[in-house]
Amino acid sequence: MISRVSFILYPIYSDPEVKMTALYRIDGIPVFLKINAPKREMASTLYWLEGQIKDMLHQIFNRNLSEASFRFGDVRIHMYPVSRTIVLAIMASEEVSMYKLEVDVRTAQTQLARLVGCE
Amino acid sequence: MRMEMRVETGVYGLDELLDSGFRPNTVNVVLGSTGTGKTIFSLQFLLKGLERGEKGIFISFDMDVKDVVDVASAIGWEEVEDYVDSGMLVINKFYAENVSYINNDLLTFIVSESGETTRIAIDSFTPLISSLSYEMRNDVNWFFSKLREAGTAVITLEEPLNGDMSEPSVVIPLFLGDSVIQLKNIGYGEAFNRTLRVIKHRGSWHAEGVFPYRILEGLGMIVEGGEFVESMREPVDLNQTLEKAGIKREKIDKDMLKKLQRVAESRTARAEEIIVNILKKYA
Repeated sequence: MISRVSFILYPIYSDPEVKMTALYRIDGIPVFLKINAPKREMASTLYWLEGQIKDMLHQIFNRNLSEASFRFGDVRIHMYPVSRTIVLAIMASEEVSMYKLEVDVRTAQTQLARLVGCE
Repeated sequence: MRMEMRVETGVYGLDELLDSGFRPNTVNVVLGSTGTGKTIFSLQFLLKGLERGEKGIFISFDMDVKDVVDVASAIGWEEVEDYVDSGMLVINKFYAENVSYINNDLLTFIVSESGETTRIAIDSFTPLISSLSYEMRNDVNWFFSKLREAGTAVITLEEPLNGDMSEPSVVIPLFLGDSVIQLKNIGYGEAFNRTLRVIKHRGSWHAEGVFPYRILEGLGMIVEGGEFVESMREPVDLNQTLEKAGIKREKIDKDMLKKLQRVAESRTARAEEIIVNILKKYA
């Protein structure tokens, strides 16, 4: 399962401008996490995210949002729901090609929904 | 290369996350709320031992022999009844109100029934220690040490539904157990809804992360993700690493070299990078 998730998300996390790719469960637990930057650099942002993630996920699911974005210093965090309980979170620098990212995310969303949506 | 005997958990895919299984003569805690599969875990652990000719002891405060056999049959493990009949598996229901606290009857029973290699499952430990206070940590420690003498044990703990993990009845066994495995089920029926996490595995490497699991008739619990973890665990040749980093072996302090050798053998993910960084800084 994790290998397949990793394979699906590869086009996203292989982009050097993407600092972090994660799948968060509705209870705030990261079920998949790939970090492309030195952990020390990411620590403060990840701690912040950990503190906020539950509220953010509830907002996304309760308001039926198709996407949510946050700017955090010189990085942006994009969140996309992929199933009733899973959200794809991507942390990318300002230099990332948003067009490429959007296309990759749409493809991954469809594949992930099929994979994790039901047993 | 260090070699240590391990006790296979019996749960498919879990041994890979625990560096081949539980360490022998340890107390291993399985934490989870209702419906996560703690009883199935316990039975699966015992069944693995029984298949290998080891003795099994199942202690419950809720289920008697018939209930346990029924649960096992529902999964497809009809052989459990045969093991009970042959005396290889001993099931005993204790009454928590009579036990009220860790008492000698329970220990005497476990010790008297244990053989040369024994697997013990207490499902669940929570009723036994629900009235526990922090002062009683030593008593639980003593009880665990006796369990270790008797064999390798799995004890299950009920995770409070209100999520309050600071209660002594939860915290103390978590601190004193040799390993802690947490089971979660958020109950929407999706693939990542049931997950397993190894919180600690004293004296051993263990996989970090959250791994999905399923419960299937016939097989019981199956944990996925081991192959992914294994692919991240590259063996490291310390001599080659030193050569690549341009550092001479003779110039490194003996104690440091011993520590680095252990890291290299542990097959920890990114071990080579860690070793090179340490050498650059301290050698």
